[in-house]
Amino acid sequence: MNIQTQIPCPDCGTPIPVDGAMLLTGTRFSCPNPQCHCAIALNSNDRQVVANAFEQFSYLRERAQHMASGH
Amino acid sequence: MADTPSSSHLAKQFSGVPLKALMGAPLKAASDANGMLARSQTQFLLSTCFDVDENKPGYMIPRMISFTLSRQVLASDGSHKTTESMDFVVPLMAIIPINSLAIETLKVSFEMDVKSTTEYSQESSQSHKDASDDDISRPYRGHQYSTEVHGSLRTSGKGKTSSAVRYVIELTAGQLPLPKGITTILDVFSKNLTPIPSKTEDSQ
Ligand SMILES: [Zn+2]
Repeated sequence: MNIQTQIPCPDCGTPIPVDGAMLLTGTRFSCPNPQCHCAIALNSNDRQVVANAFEQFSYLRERAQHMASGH
Repeated sequence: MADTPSSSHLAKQFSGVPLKALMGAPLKAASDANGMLARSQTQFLLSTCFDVDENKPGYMIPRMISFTLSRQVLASDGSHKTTESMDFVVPLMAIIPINSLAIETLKVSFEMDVKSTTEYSQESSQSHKDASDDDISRPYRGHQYSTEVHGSLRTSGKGKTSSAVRYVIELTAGQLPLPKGITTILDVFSKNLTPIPSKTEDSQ
């Protein structure tokens, strides 16, 4: 599962790049705006919900890639 | 002495070739595949990213997930840093790259040679280009496609010569756009991310 996504910084609105696998481990992601010293992390009680969503999404994406390769 | 091959002569050489079917079939297959993906995308969104609203039958509400925002703050005298923490919620679908669920590019190319022998004594060359844009995925409105047909005809010499026409057709298809309702929800939430102070103090 390799999901790259982004979440707008709640403080300045700059998109914060987020790695799906690291998000699920509780990693903090810093806002790339140098003037903004914010970091975000997924709360532990929602990790399972996100993990399930990522898993289903990965399955769909694999199907799409399978179709694109003409099989 | 025969006429120099003309565009109409060129066109006649292609009569009977099922160009429409040859060009349309791969696009139709891609469009059908994207239609299936669009349906899967909708099912995924409804089953994973929404909950049934128990107060309003038939309504669904976005499933929210909670994040902690932490920020380093300097004390007023600049002596030490503290970390302030706040919680905020975002819709689950906001962190899923849904629009990557589409066949982004499809490249179909085939070459076609038509050869004929004619007799003439002139030197000429001509090229032909046709372009068209259409949406062939009407049931889903998922894909736009563009087609370019290039052809070239080169003849030279005198007396008995041969002419050859080679057509190269390339098809490209664009990315599946997100449904308007989804982009509206995402837009509203991204503009209203208001953090609230965390229940458990995490400042040190
Ligand atoms: Zn920021």
